[in-house]
Parts: sequence; C-alpha cells; structure tokens
Amino acid sequence: MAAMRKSIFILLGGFALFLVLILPFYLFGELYGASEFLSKFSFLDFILGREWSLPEQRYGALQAIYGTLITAGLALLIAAPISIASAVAMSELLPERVSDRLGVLIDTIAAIPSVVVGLWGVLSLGPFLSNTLYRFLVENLGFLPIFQATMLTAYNKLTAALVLGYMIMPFAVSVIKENLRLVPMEIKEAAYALGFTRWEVVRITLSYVKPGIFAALMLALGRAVAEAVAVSMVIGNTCSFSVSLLEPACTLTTLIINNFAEATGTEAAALIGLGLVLFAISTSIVLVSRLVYSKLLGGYMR
Amino acid sequence: MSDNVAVSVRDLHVSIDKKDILKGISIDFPKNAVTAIIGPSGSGKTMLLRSINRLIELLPRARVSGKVLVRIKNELQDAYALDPSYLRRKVGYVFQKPNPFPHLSILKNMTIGPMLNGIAKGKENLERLAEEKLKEAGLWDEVKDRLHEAAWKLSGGQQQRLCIARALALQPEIILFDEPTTGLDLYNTKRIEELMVRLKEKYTIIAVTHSVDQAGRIADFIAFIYNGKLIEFGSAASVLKSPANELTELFITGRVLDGVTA
Amino acid sequence: MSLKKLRDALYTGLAYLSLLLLAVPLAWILFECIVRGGAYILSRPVEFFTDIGRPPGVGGGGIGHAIQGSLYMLGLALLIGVPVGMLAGIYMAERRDSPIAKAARFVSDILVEFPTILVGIVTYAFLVSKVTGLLATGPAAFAASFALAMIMIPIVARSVETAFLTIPNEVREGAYALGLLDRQTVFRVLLPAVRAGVMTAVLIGLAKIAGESAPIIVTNGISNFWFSKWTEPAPSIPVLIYVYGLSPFKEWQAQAWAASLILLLLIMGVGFLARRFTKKMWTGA
Repeated sequence: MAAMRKSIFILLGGFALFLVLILPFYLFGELYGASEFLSKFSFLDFILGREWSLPEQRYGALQAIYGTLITAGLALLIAAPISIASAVAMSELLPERVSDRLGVLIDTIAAIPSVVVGLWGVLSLGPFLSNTLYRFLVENLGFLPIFQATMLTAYNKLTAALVLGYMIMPFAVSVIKENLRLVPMEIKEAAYALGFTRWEVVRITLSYVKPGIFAALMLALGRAVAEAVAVSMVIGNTCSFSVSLLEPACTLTTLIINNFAEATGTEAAALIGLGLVLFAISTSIVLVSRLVYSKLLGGYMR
Repeated sequence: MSDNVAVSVRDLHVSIDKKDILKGISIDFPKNAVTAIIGPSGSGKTMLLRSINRLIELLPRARVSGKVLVRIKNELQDAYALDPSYLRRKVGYVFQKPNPFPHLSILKNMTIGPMLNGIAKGKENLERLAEEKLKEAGLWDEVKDRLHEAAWKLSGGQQQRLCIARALALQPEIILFDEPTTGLDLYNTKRIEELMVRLKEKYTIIAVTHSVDQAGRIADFIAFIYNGKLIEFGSAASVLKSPANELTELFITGRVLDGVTA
Repeated sequence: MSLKKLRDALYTGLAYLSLLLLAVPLAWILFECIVRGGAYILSRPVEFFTDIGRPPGVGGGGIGHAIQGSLYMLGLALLIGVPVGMLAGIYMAERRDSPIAKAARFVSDILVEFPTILVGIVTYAFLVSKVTGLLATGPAAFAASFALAMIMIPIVARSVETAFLTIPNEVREGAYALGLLDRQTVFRVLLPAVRAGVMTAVLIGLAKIAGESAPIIVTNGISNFWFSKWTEPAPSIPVLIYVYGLSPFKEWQAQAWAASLILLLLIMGVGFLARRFTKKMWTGA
C-alpha cells in the first residue's frame, strides 16, 4: 500500500552493510595474503611445523602458537584472581563514592597505550624483576623446570605474562563489576537473612554471575592473545619450546610485528599465515564468550 | 461524495503482528467540525487516527488495508497514494504525550517544520509565521519573552499547546488529536478544549478521547469504536442522549464493557 | 564463629590488596613518565616539541616530527572513520530490527575485540603490497590511516547507536507528524538532539586509535623523518616510543618516556572531554 520512496535509510543501510562486510573482508584478506604460501606448503604442515627459521626457509607455526598460549594463559591466571577480587572490593565492600573514584583509576589504566606499558616492561619492570624475583626463583626454586634458566634475563615469558596480565586487568575488572551490579538486591538480602557472613554473601553473589565472569575472562584472554607491541618488547623474541617461564619465547603477534615490515615473498605470506591462526584463535574466543554471555542474559538474568 | 466530508474511511483493516486491531471501519468525518472518537482503551481509536495520516507506517509490523480519502485543497484524495510527507503536513497530529523537540528552542520548534518543508523562507517570514501560530494556539503571551529557551523547560500544558501551534504552522487542513489532555491539569485541559472548538472554524478536528464528558464538551459528532469496529456514529447530541446501540449506552453511562462482544 | 570472622577479615584484606596491586604499576608508570620524561622535556622545552629526532650520540632532538605525523595519520583516519561509523551507527539505531542492523551489531561486537595487528596485515595485503598496491607498493602513511579508520569504525558505530537509542520515540513521531522526510528527521532533528553523544563517540574512537602502534608498524613501517608524502612511511608518537624504548641509548630512552607522557596526556585529555560530553548528553525529555 505504501508507495516506495527514496529514503536516506537506503544510504545509511549501505554503510551498515559495509560494516557487516568488514569481517568477511578481513578473513578474505588474510586468506588472500597467505595464498602464495598456502599454494606451496600445506596448512597442516604449517601449523604443526616445529621450527620457525628464516635462513633455512622453515616456517612452522607451532612454537609461536605455544608461546601465545602459554603467555596469554599465564596472563589470565595472574589477572583473574586480582580482577575478581578488585571488582568485588569495588562493588560489594567499598562505599559507592570511593568505588566511583576507583573507577577512574581503572579507566586510566585501561587508557594507557600498550606501547607505554611495553616501555615500562622493558625499562623498569623487567630489569627490576631480573635482579629480585627472577634471581630468587632461579636460586631457590631452580629445581623446578618452570624456573630453570641458563642465563638470568629480564625478558622472558613471565615478564610478558605480567605485562599482558596488567593490560587485561582493567577490562576484566569493569566487565565483572558490571555483572555484579546486575545481581538483584533480593538475592543478597535472602543470603543475609539466612545468617550468612559478608564473604558467604559475596560467594553467593559470585556464583550467581559465574557465566558473566567466565565471559569477561574469556574476552580478557582474547585481548592477551591479540596484543602485539607490548609483548614483543618484553618476551625476548627467541622461538623455543622451553618449559621454563624464565626463558625467552616468541608468539604469533611478535613474529609478525618484528618481521612483517621487511618481509617479502614466501616469508611475508607465512607471516600472514600466522595472522590466519591468530584470527581463528581470537575470533573463536570472542564467539565462545558471546555465546556464554547471551545464554546468561537469556537465562535467569534478565 | 458530499462536499461536507473531510476524511472518508472505507473498510479499513489494521493488524499488528497478525493481531487484528481494526476490523473493517467505514466512517465519514465532516468538514469544519469537531468529531470525537470514543471507546474503551484497546479498542483501536489511536490506530484509526494514525491510519489517517499514515503515522501507522512507523510501526514496522503494522498492516493496513482499505481506503482513506482526505480532503486537501477541496478535493478528496487517496491518502495512501499521496506522498506521506505531504499528507502529514496537511493532516496535522497532536500526540497524547506532549512531544516538542526538547533540545530545540521554542522558536525553533515552531520554525523547523515550515523551514524544512519550504512553507516559509527567510528568518523574518519564519518568525512572523511562528508568532501568528503561537497566537492562534493562545501561547504567545506566555512564551514571547523566552522564545530562545529550550522547549523542555515549558510546563506540560504549555508543551502541548506548543505542539498544537507547531502543527498549525504547517498550515494543515485537518488536525488529529490523540487524547491531547491526558495528564494535564484542569486549567490546561480547559484551554486546549476551547482551542479545539475555536480551531474548527478553519480546520477539521478529529479527536480521540477517553472521556465521554470531554466529548460532550467539544464534539459536534461522536464516533464510538469498540473492539476494532465502529458501533455508532452520529451528532454528539443524539449519540449522548439517545444512543441507538446498547453497547454505546453501556459505555457512555460508565458501565463495564468487558466480556460483551460486539 | 570467631574463625568465620577471621576468614571474613582475611578475604577482605586480600580484596583490598588486589586493588593495591592494580594501582602500583600505574603509579610506577606515571612516575617514570613524569620524572624521566618530564626531566627531558624541561631540559629542552621548545626543542622537544619542534625538533626532529637526532641520532644517538649527537644529543638533543625532539619529537616534533612524530607529533606532526600522528596528527596527519589520525586526521585522515577520523575523516574516513567518523562518517562511516556514524552513518552505520544511525542505521543500527533507527532500523534496529532490520536484519542488516542486527548483523552489524553482531559484527561490531566481534570487531571491537579484533586483533588490531590483523587489521594492519589485511590493509597491507590489499593497499600497499607489491602485487596489489595501487597508490604505493610499500609501507605508506595512508595505509596506516586506513587501518586506524577501520579499527575505529565499529567503536564509533556502536557508541553512536547507543546515543541515538536514548532519544525517546515521541521525538521521532513528532518529526514525522510534521511531514519531515527521513533525511530531515535524522539530520535536522535527531542528530542535533544527541550532538554531545556523537562527540563522545568520536572521542572514544580517537582515544582508542591514538595509542595504537601495531597496525602502524605493519602498514607504515618505521620512519624518523618529517612527514613527507602519504605514500611514504611517516613517523608517529607510538612508534617512536617503540623504537626509542627498545634502543640501548639513554637519551633515546628518556625521549621515549617524554613522548609517553605527551601521549598519555593526550589520551587522558580526550577521555576527559568524552566524559564531559557524556554528562551533557540529553538533558531534555
């Protein structure tokens, strides 16, 4: 019945469609960039290839994947308890006025560019730790494989994980805080009415938003996996399968950032191949997190 | 069709999400008169009103069929064949809740329509038009010294009269009112009722109202809608004094209609 | 019972300790920026902002070229990213139930978490690789701007969408009832109503890309000269921090801290402005 009319929304819809197409465009760009490499080598050999060596023209992604997973995982292990505890302190323990002030602190940490955190890692944190904590660990706990080091160095997996952990904390804190705010007052009142202490109430509250916390930590993990500059500044940039946290390593992103500008031909294509692996890991982490979160919103929390 | 008809609705059906809201309504609204549409809430009054100037098309899930003719420039024209923007300019609408553009000044609320529709050009002409229409709506004296203040600072009643003046500024021929005095105090209700009666000299007024008393005060004609159907239509005096239909009588005497099917 | 109380106190203490653990590195970073960086700036208060980088050993030098390069890069990125993000965001809010709007929302949520280094790689592969490069066949400043624009588009779109969703529906109906066209409703009534919100969206996007370094390194490479051409590498503050910070030279390291101080002030200033605009948002209705 309504006559068709030219509307500005056709144009606006075009821009929205463009936004939708960015993601497939990225995937296509990755595949296209890596195509030269994929035509020469099999993708399976690439992913399972144990060695990345330029002079020998060997492009195996496994060391980088190992480095990414271990640093990002360790970063999450460090960030998770601190983030959860901080969020609880801010939303459950402290008065709102103080908590608001602390919110500014969290926002400020989140606003620090990664290259500045990296700079701090290179010039301050790394040298400080190698003279204190790392020396102590090697001398006293050196019998553990994870703390063995042939040479005491400031730049290794642990430094990378600490820097990464710090970078993902503000994000995790604010998302967990948002989740805690959604807990209905009745739940807490019910817990108090049962004679629970404050911490028992907090435990109930936390269990109520467990999926939300899981989703937040997944997103934080995704950010740790995606981070490039800060990690590359403090990880030592030597690819290996070493178990020790005090040995250097490389990750998917550090190989790319260190070599991409000068790379040509097969090497450039192999680096884009690493990007493809990063794409897959990172996007699946985000999707899993979204899935969990939408389940939460569709469930008892509305 | 009679020259005296301003809006002619023929077999109008409206459904939203496959739920029937209006089930075949036919009615002729007389020119230069106030017609009140009454009926219990949920009977489809507002949807009938919105079908006339096609505001109903803002609801993406609404389906409309039937015919609506509106008299513009003394000629009955198919509302759904016209350009909706032109139609809405000629058939003004005043909402239940006053909706001035809150971030714009009082003056700008008045001039934005005429300016964008090209009704008046130049600052002076636009401001003269604004003054004229604010006077017509009886708001001028209250706002003439604060024309540049944001509209949200006005009281609810003033906001509603601003909305009426805003509609008048587009020089419409028909004005639709959707329960325009809801939530207003007695003073403002009275002023707006008087205004509607005064406006019928130049315009055709169709007003949805929830109050039978209000219909009695302002209307020349009354249409009673129930459950998506037109139950009764006639002069205000005849509908209120000697309703032909039992349902109408139940409604105007304030007795419950629930459970009675038309 | 007292055991319970002890446990309560212990956990509370641990929660406060974790807040302290969050605050200490921030204080440390700010301290280094202000003390080490501030000292360098004070020693050359004018030169630092106007001069180009000097080779190590020569002494002195500033970050004027990096400030200039960053302004160019961010300027072009805003020029591309803001309109695209804004128009897409308006659609997402005003046609919120349409399939395209829903898809755009879903994709935006993935894109804001997307590794920025990959945006750089794709931009490189399409815009400036030896095979496909149309305007340049090698690292180029315009490619960096394009990558930054792509990064900010979903952020701007989402925030503009949020701003438009705060507009009560009555305002839209009022506009249509006056016979305004879609175009007039959107740009003359709705957009002015959320001007502050749109400003916030732009500033949030700007704050996000102003600190980015990975996509610039990948697409533009590294340069320590003045900005010359869009098709050549250009310097920028984040990349200068990266290069100087990794160098073994004390004077370059000091300049890295000084540049960090400037970058931090810039980003915090933008964030502060964004919060101001958020507070001003929507006083009516």
